[in-house]
Amino acid sequence: MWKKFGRLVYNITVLFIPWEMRIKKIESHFGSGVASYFIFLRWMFGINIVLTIMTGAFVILPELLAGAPFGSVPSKTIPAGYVASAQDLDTIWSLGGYLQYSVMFYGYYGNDRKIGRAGYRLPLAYFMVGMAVFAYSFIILLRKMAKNSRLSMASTSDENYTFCWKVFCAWDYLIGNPEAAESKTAAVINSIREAILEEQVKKKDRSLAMIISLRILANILVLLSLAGSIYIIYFVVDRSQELERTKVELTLWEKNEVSVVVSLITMIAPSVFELVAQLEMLHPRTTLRFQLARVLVLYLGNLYSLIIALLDKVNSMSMTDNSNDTGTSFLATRALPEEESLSTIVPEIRLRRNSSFSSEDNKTKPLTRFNKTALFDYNILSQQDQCWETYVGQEMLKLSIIDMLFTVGSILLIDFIRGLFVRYLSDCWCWDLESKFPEYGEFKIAENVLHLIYNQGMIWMGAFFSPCLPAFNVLKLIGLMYLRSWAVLTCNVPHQQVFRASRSNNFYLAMTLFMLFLCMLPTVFAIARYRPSPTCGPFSGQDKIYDIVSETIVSDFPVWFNTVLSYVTSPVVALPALLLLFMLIYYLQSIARSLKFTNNQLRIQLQIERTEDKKKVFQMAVARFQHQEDDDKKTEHESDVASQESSLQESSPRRNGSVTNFDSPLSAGSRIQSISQQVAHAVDVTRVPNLPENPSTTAAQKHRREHAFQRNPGGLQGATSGHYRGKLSSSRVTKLPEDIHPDAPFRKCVRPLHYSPSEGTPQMILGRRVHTARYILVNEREPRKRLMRSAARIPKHYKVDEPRGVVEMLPRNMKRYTVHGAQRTNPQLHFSGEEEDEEELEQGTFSRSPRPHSLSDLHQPTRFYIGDSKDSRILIGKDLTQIRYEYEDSEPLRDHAGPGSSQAQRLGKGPVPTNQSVGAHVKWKTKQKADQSLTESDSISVASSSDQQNSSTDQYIQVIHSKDKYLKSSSEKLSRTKSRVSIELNVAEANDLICSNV
Amino acid sequence: MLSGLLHKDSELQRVLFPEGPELKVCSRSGHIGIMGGSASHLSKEQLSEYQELTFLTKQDILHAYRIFTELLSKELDDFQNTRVSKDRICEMPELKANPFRERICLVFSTAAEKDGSISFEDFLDMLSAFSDSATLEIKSHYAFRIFDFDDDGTLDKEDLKKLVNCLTGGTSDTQLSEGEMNQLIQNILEESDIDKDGTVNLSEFQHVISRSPDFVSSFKIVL
Repeated sequence: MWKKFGRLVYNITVLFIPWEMRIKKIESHFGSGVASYFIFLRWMFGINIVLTIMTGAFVILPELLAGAPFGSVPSKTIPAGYVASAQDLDTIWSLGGYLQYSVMFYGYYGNDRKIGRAGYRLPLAYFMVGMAVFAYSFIILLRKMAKNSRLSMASTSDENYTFCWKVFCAWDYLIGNPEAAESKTAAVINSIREAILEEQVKKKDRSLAMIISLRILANILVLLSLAGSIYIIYFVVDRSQELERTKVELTLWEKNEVSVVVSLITMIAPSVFELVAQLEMLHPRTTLRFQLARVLVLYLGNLYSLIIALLDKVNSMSMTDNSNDTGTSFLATRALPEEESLSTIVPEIRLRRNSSFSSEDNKTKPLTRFNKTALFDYNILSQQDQCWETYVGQEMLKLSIIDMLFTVGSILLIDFIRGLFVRYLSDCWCWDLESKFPEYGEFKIAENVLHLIYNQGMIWMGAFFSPCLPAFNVLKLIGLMYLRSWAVLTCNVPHQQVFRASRSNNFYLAMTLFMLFLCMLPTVFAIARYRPSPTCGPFSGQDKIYDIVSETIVSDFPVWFNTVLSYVTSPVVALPALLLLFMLIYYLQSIARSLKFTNNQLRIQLQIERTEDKKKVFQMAVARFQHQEDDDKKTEHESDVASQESSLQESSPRRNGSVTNFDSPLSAGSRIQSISQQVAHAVDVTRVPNLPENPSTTAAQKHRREHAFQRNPGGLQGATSGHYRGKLSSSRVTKLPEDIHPDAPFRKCVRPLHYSPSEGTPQMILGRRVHTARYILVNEREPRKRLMRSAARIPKHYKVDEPRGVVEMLPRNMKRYTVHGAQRTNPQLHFSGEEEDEEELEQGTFSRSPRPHSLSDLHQPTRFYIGDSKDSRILIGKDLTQIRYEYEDSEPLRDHAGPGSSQAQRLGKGPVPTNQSVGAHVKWKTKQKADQSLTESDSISVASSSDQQNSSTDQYIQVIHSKDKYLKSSSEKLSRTKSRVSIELNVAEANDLICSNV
Repeated sequence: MLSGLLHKDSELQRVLFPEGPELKVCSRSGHIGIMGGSASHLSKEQLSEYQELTFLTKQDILHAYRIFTELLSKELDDFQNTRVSKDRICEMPELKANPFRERICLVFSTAAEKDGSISFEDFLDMLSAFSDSATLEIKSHYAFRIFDFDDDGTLDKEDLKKLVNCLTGGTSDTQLSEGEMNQLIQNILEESDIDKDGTVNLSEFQHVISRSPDFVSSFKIVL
């Protein structure tokens, strides 16, 4: 619902975003860089709309609606001497005549404190809006900048992926124009080559001296052109003043000379800079930066020389005001209005001077002196003329208009005509116009953006003096938008140098902010420093413009507020407040610094963590590897003990027949008893209720003994399946509680050990059978055969076989059941110390030897299926082959399930089946080899998979899943004996438990 | 982090597989719209459905539909099951200049025969991923798939080489030399290959991309 509504709103807003489609079209042709200019233009347009609304709603409209009508007040009347020429084109063009006396300029606004019936305080509103224009611009700029920097994550500057970005983010997918694509490709190649070159050993420049001299030359040239431009402006101002003084009628050119020259300079100088920059042979990026800096300096120089000239003029004006306004002039204006015809020459001179800049040349001094001695009737005109605010506004507006004209002209001439020329004359020209000299005009994003900023600077400078300036700028920007977009689409090619969008956005904004600040300075300076014109404007009659605020506060606010304010503004409050502000700034800055520090720390920590993680994974892999080596060592141990083992093996018939006591197993068993006792206790609760602990164990032991007894004869005579069943059920008795009890897996393996030594060998065998059933699942076949061989087994052969089995044993099982379990469970299997190790080995051998009876081949599928399912998760590519191997493996296994159960029968039959099984054994061995290699690769893959931490739960699920599979497959396979199925269940449950423990 | 992507992806999946029950209903209503002979063959339900499932606005979808039918160059009743061949898609002005156009077709194509042909829903899917409002995750995910030339889930050296060659164009004078290429690939791997396995995987790629200031603004296609 809400989502839909949001969608709807989004749909509608998209419709209302101005020029969205146009910008998208440009974007799709020229890439995001060019589009960023237009987006910036649109943003500027938005700002100007708001400024226009502010000035329009609070200043212009009230004045129009409620202010004194045109012609009612002297300040709103065109002086009689100019009425005749007020509608002339050149008067209008120089913003004189009717335009001068309109809402467009400061001078028109009345100084009545309240206008209309509602008592709108226009002067106050005028002042407030003037300030609000700056405040709003500042706030909106800063907010935009903050947002941008948040987006671009500027803090991660030290995480530099130069090459990756150059390759992965190089292409601008918006580019659809083949020419743009070509230049983009060229830019990409250039940037890649540059990066490679930079990365390679920094080669020394072939002739450093020449380059340095060239650069010095270039900089001198740039400085010269900057100085030249400033000199030209002054020269023009000088000339215009001279003309003004000597000539009565000025031509159109002479009137607009200054603006035209300034605009020309702003147009031509960047190209000059660009030419000069080619001398420098800098890195293109640096070139661009230098270029931007120079252009910015140029623009600022222009604006500042202009404003300084204006303020000088203002200064001289207010000087004359000061000299004149002491009573007499004011009276004179009223008294002698008809005398103005007497002195037509002087005011004209004065007027003409208005349209130009009066800088600090000495020629103004005689003029001012002359003013002082002028007739009274001069004063009325001079005072009406001497509305310096209007004058400044006029100049700014004029400059803006001329600038607009020049922009249009340059677009038409430099881009369009050139484009036409190149396109249509290239066929019949003596060189290739498209690729050699004139080429197509490039769209220089940076310069264009700077020009926009410059334009906006003019608006900010003049907005206070000419409230309609933002409105004019809105129109100008609309025109510019259409013209530029048209020009770009028809006759431009994108700039070679890629100027990226988002990165540059903040750059644009920073420059805009800089410009705003610098443009605000003169205005604020003028407001604070100069006296407002006494005869015109909303602040006439006041000493300073800002007096309107204090005056309003004094007269219109309640007394208490006034007193409060006087307290607040007194130094007693103001100074501490200032101090507080400083402290606050300092505090916030230090917080920012500390946050930055923390940020860095966190990043370092992150990096360390990352490397630690890597190390951990590596260590794990190593540990696994080492573990296998350990197993190898163990096998060495085993081979050391091989003699013992072989003796054991040889003694196994004896064991079967009678009881053989081993000291070491006993000690191990007694030690482990403490652990297993706990297990038994814990188990007891959940166990079959009618059996207390000891009886139960004894019962179980009894069972076992029985079965072992049965088994032994069975082993000798040929065990029946019934024997097996009984025995398995007994083992199930011991197992069940364990399965219920969610204990650490090692206890389960320990517990049978506890029984076994105390009960003697058959139990030992049995116990270990359980133990091995769970942990040594892989190599049953060998022991099985070994047992069969055991009567007459050559020790050497055994040695060869056995180690391999052990090598496989631990990592495999652990890996199958647990993820990290290999290391964790293993020490427990190792018990403690070396001797236990040996014992363990012995137990291992023990457990291996009786395994055929445990039917542990039933577990074989478990392993495989678990392994299978897990592998399939990790190894996608390998698991197919894996499965194939496993099927190969499990296929004979199934066969063996039958023989395995009947092996005892064969065993009973004596040496004849032994031979058979030797043959089978050979077969198994080869299989196992293949299997082993696979599992090793598995373990590697497990180690290399990075998200081991997470996988344990997955593993659990997987195991259950595999259990189902296993059960399904096994149930069809082994439905003959229920007991077996139940064992499988148990085993599966045990697996689950182990996994859950892990 | 990926959940958003997956969510949206699964939504896209629904679009991509018209077997889904929801969409069948929609396509039926689409037929009704056709029978009605309206200017746009997309029914309202379909439109809103597509709008739900993509990052596109209604106007975008209608525009895309227009362009797609132009590509088909004939009026078809069953536009949902009709595919535009890869070559025709690559001739679109928006993709014409793109060095990765074939990869884009292959990545977004759901054709069973892997010929890169694009159905209307693939087309919408593509425009959605390249739209303004698609998230960085989605964009980087698709960028990764586009760059993964052999579709093996990692960017190995061969992929990177192909990628750079695509960027530098076909001619021999613009191509990087062997030494430059090796240097470049080595540098790329040094920067991005966190686990040092010699390839760039998706998360490494996204890590790098998310730091890039202007990937999102440049990974866009606007009709």
